[in-house]
Amino acid sequence: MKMGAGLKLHLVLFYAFLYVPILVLMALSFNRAGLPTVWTGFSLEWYGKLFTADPIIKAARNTLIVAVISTVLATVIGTALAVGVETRRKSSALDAVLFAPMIIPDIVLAIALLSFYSFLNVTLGLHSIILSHVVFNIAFVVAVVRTRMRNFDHSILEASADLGASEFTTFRRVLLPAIAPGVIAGALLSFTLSVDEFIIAFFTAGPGSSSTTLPMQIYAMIRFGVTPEINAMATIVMLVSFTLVLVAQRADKEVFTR
Amino acid sequence: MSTGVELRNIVKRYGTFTAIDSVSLSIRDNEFFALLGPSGCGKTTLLRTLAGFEMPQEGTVLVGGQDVTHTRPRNRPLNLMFQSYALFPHMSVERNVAYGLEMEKLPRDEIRSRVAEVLASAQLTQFANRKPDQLSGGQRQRVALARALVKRPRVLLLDEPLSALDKKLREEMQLELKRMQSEVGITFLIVTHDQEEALVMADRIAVLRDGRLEQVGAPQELYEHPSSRFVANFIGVMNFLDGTATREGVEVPGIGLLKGESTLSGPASIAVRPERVTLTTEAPTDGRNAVPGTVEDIAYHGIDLVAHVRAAGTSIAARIPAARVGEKVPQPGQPVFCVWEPEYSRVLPLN
Repeated sequence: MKMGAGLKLHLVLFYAFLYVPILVLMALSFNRAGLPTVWTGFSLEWYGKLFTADPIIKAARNTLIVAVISTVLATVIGTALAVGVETRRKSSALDAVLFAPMIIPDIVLAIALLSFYSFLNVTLGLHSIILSHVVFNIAFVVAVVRTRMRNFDHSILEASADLGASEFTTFRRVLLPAIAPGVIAGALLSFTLSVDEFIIAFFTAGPGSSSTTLPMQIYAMIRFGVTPEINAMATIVMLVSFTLVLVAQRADKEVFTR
Repeated sequence: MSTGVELRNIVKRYGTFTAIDSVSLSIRDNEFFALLGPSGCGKTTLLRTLAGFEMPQEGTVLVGGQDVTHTRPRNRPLNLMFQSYALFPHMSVERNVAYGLEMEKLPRDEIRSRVAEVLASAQLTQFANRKPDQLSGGQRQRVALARALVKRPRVLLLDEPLSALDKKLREEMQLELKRMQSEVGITFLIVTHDQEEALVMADRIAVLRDGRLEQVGAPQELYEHPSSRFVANFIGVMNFLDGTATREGVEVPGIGLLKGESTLSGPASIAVRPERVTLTTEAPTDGRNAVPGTVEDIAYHGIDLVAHVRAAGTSIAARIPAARVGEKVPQPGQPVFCVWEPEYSRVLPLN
């Protein structure tokens, strides 16, 4: 394909606008000096500091716990939901309800969940963050798995029943392998979203540092200025997210054969 | 001969739409039976009712004398070959074929030998480890057939099995299916909209129209003795001349009596197949039916010619075999007589 010079320039500017700040941040995380403006030489000092700082390690562990558990729950529930709506009942009202958590502003969802928890007198902590993340992650898993469900021949499910399989066997041996790429992609997507998520976690976390997640920790640190430590941490978080998104894309692109 | 499949007064409605309207049908053991009809006539619904994917509101489905009306698809002694083939895309050919036997929890050795046997007879042995998307359309069709046949069902249901193949392969497979059916000795019930396919393969054909059975019979019977204008038109090509039925034939206005065996009275059509019509320049004097007209056009088909003759306010088609073409080819605009023996006339109700 041939592209005009104007279009090319547009594209370069577009990507520069998106990625130059991130590249600057990544570069500065290797800066020896603790200043964001002057480059004084390459150093891994800040990464070292990162891995010895207690609150950061703890926050990272919390984040992982939240992300893993909410991903597992959302993937199981979301996949079941997607299969249900695609094979059983068609309803545009149901569709809208399923999409809602993706579209509702995070801040609204956060406040709603917080009021809901206090209404039920639920003590806040990691578990309440996990539950909240499950809520919006389900929406993403459902969306990805449903797309996958539309792209395969549903008569293979009837063929399985015709050949003597029970519904559970059909699910395990025919349906699940057929939608597996979508399920994996959905899971990776929710993991990434959960790792990055700040607002909802901030609102539904418990008091003290026991349920502080990584984004919350960064926010707490940034109030004392942007330090190279934060740059280092942001770089790591970003690389993890970026890798997962790439893997998710590949998983979903992969057609049945391997 | 015992009854393989019996349908009694099957009624299937979707809301206010009646897809199948009180259909009764019995199919013998080892019969090659075709359900034929235009799209939307209910033939696929009827097949799916037999397979157990649709529940009829009324009626009974019997297979081998056993009532299976409320039996789940997986417990019915029949298998369906899907129009899309419905092969499991993530499994190899071998795994696809073995699937149904694994569901029966057969010993592993038996599964292996039965799969190998079926793959060999379907000439698929060399493709055993391929995935469905690495096969051609014809190969996929054979895998679908093998996967259903390996279960040794009492009845094999085939939903438009050849529709995805190109014309040449389709004609080969028609004979192949027929050969296979007589080899395995299983009742085949095929759904098709292709009348030629039904004529070539089936022992008997049921013609469906708007959810009702129009006529059931052997191919030759349907072709030579259609019971309605619909069947006559759907199977092959038929010429019709409308008039009033009498005991000797049909009085056609402006032409007179055209002879043919008739049991009707009142408004009726006299029908004749194009290949029974010959064109002459002089009116016959031997009592054959004759309709005067003018040649409108000639279509060359290689194997024969089809002449359309404007006569009695309608168009009459006549097939002229290639062997006779050399003698005298009628020219457009030429006045001719469309002539046929009274025994080839069919007197049918107007609608």
